[in-house]
Amino acid sequence: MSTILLVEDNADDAELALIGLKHVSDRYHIELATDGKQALEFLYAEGRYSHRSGEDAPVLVLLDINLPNGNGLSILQRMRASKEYHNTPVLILTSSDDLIDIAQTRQFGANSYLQKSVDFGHFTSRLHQELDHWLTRAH
Amino acid sequence: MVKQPHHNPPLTGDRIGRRLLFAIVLFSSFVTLVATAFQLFVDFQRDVGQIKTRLDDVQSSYLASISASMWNLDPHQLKIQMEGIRQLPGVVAVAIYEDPTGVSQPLTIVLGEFTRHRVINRDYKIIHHGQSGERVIGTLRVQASLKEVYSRLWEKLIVILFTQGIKTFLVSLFILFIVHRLITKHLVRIAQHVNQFTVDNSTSPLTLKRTDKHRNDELDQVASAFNRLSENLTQAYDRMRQANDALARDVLARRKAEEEVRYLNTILEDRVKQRTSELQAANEELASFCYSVSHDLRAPLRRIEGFRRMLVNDCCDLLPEQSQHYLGRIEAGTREMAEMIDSFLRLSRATLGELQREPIDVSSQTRQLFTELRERETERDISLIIQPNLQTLADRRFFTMLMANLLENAIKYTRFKAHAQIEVGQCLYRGREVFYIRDNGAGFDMDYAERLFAPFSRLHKADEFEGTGVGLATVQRIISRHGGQIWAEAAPDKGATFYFCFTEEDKHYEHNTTG
Repeated sequence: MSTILLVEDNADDAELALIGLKHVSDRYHIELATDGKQALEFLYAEGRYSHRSGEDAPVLVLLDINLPNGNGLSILQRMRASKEYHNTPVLILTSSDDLIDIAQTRQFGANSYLQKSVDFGHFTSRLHQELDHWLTRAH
Repeated sequence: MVKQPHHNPPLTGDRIGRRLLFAIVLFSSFVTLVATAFQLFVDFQRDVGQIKTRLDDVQSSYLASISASMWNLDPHQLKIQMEGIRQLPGVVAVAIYEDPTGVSQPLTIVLGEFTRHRVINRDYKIIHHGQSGERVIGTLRVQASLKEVYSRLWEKLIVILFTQGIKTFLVSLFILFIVHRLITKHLVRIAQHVNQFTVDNSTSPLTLKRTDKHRNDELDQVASAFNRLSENLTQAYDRMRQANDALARDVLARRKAEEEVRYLNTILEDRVKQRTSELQAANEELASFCYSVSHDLRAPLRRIEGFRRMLVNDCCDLLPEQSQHYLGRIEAGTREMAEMIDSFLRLSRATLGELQREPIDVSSQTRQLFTELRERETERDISLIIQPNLQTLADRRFFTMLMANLLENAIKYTRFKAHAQIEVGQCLYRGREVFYIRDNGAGFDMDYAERLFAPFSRLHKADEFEGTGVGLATVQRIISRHGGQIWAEAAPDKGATFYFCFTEEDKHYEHNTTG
């Protein structure tokens, strides 16, 4: 089973995101990282994830921008610089709807962005659309 | 102003006196000459007359006896008679010539010497009264000399000229003295006084040193006229100086006041600048605070809504109706708050950030925005008419925000129209080129137009048209940041038109005239 990495520091937001991801949870393993360091360790099988098998490398990353221990954009930058994640779809989770923030994530190599809308229904449906789109491409 | 007295050459009696003396002497001499000549002429005539009378006397006194002597051929007697004539005053020579007719040797007796100059000659015919009638027997010639007459005349002339000369000299001196005493002295004094006179200095009045105080002649009149003149001058000068001083004080006061005004102006300007920048800073701080607060509020709100929805999904059917209602109320509340937060964010964003003007294709931008917004309400019949090739200079981000707000408004307030129509274009409004966006929606009462752009103010009921009342405040903020203007015209149920422009009025005219 392929893995989707969810990077989200807030437990509630993570839970809600996981609820949204139920849609694909029968086909994908969802790995949650709650800070930047953990996310990088999982991505590159370091530290506590040093025994992670190569198959568990994520096929898609949902990345929050504001993170403790390492900002989302720097993770994205590193991913795009490394060979194994050069083309892996990265969807940015952002609470901002500022076009400038969004444009910036595009520059760093994000494939798309998901605004963490207050309307949860809207959020999940957007999430599903994006997942369907990028996961079919990933295969 | 102190005027130094002129150092003219001192006015002395010499000039006028000399000329006067010359005139007097000239005229007096002329008169003397004429008078002397006349007198001499008269004297000469008289003297000559005397001599002539004497000669006339010769005829009557001597001629008869001489005729007798001659007839008798008595030369001795003749000589005696001739000597008698010669003794007469003035007679210098006497001669007798016998008539030569019929005589071989005519008798000629000459006494004295005959000369040619300055003499009077008189010839007398010596007539003999005989029985055969009168017969001229000879000629008596008498010569009277005028020498004495002339020498007397000379003497007289010299005496007259001498005395007249002395008289003229003395009279002239006297006149000179009188003139000096009466006029020149005072004229010199007047001249000196006038020379020393200055209007700003209270010099003593002009007085003439005269012995007789009571007369009032021309000089006194001159002096008093001058005194009056100088007094008037002094007064006029005083008045002028006072006026001048007053003027100087005025000017000084005005200059002081101007300086004060300038100083206060600079202070005021500084203060205004300071306050403006303080205000701007405070405004931006507030906006950025508002921004971060709104931003941070969104996350917990989102969690509330997320979990509420999970609750609804999981166990809505199990809950009593009342609880389901509550869940619905929570949803409505969160939605309202989310909208509010969104609009707060937009409003604070309209305040924050640099303004960067660039050329914007208003027509295509509007079309694009409309297409995006239209997707939310696909079931509605909304048509948009956009005038092609609309251009402006504005900040792109803010323009998008502004146009999105206005289009959203237009879409919202045409909700109850079967066929919604929105029109965007440019027109002349009181000489200015302005953009407009017109809809055929609910409109509003112009009485409330003032409240239209105030934050959190709404002209419609919340259950008719949802909203936070921040959208048009954001629009206004964006327009005013550009230095432009926005206003609206509307009527209830007749739609609304918003007019706006991105430049100040004067800049706009400038652009018009140069472009």
